[in-house]
Amino acid sequence: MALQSAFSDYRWLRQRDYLTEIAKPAREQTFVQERTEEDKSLEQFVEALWGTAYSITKGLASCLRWESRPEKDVIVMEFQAPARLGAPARKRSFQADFEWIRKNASQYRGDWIAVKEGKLLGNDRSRRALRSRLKEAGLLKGAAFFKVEE
Amino acid sequence: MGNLLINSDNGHENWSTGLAPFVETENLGHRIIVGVRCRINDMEEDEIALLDTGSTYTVINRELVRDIENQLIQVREDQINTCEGTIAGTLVELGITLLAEEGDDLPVDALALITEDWHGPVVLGYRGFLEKIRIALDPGVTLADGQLFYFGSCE
Repeated sequence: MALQSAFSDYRWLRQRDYLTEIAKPAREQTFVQERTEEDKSLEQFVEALWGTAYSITKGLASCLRWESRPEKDVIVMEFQAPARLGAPARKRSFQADFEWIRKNASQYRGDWIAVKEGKLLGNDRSRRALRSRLKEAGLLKGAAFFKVEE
Repeated sequence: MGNLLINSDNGHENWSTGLAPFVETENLGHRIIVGVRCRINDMEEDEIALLDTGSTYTVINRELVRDIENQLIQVREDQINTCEGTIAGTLVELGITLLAEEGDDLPVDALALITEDWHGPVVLGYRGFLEKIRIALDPGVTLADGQLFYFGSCE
């Protein structure tokens, strides 16, 4: 949604971070956002606000109430947040690693293997040895380890 | 992101906060496994772990957590019976995070049996882990997205 960019100012970002932080214990959260000159109409403003709230909560929050106060250029959104959210998933794709395992892992029976982005980083009978090797090479972070059955 | 719903007094509520593909490896030995991606405590590497509702506990080879042993909270010595015999070890409290491709990772304060008797991949078992979360598997028979593992907290 193009209008979302209008809300990526520091105030809104700060609220996004705040939500992530408090989402674990909190069940409800209220957002208050002032309308700026960049917002061409109230309709566009509300649409953008919805879009942003949706992306913040990954579509999980149920909106309990929203209220427009045009005389103050303020929108109040109150919604119920999920009970617990971990860190948002970073841009990841596990499919390539799984595909590699499906096609190739049987060649490494009894070994620990480490894969990343659909490529084999290494294999070894010893998990510890493989881990040390990858750490030394700076390849450990994000590598997926899997023990192939004998 | 696709979400799954649960009926409650408040109507339908989303319960799944993250999803990721899973892998089946029926061509590897006699076991058909459902492999899901997770991370133990703040270790740098990920694990492709066996999701196993039939396993009493989460089981982890001691060698795997050697570098973070001082972070583990010992609970008691315990053992479980498996098809490969009795596995004895130390029950510990540790963090296991299910990793999402879409949505949010799910950190779980878990209980796991740390043992030298088990030489396979990390097993995510029922007591102290699966009993604390909601999960669903979509085998992807009719979906272009493939096999998907949905997860969310029960809290």
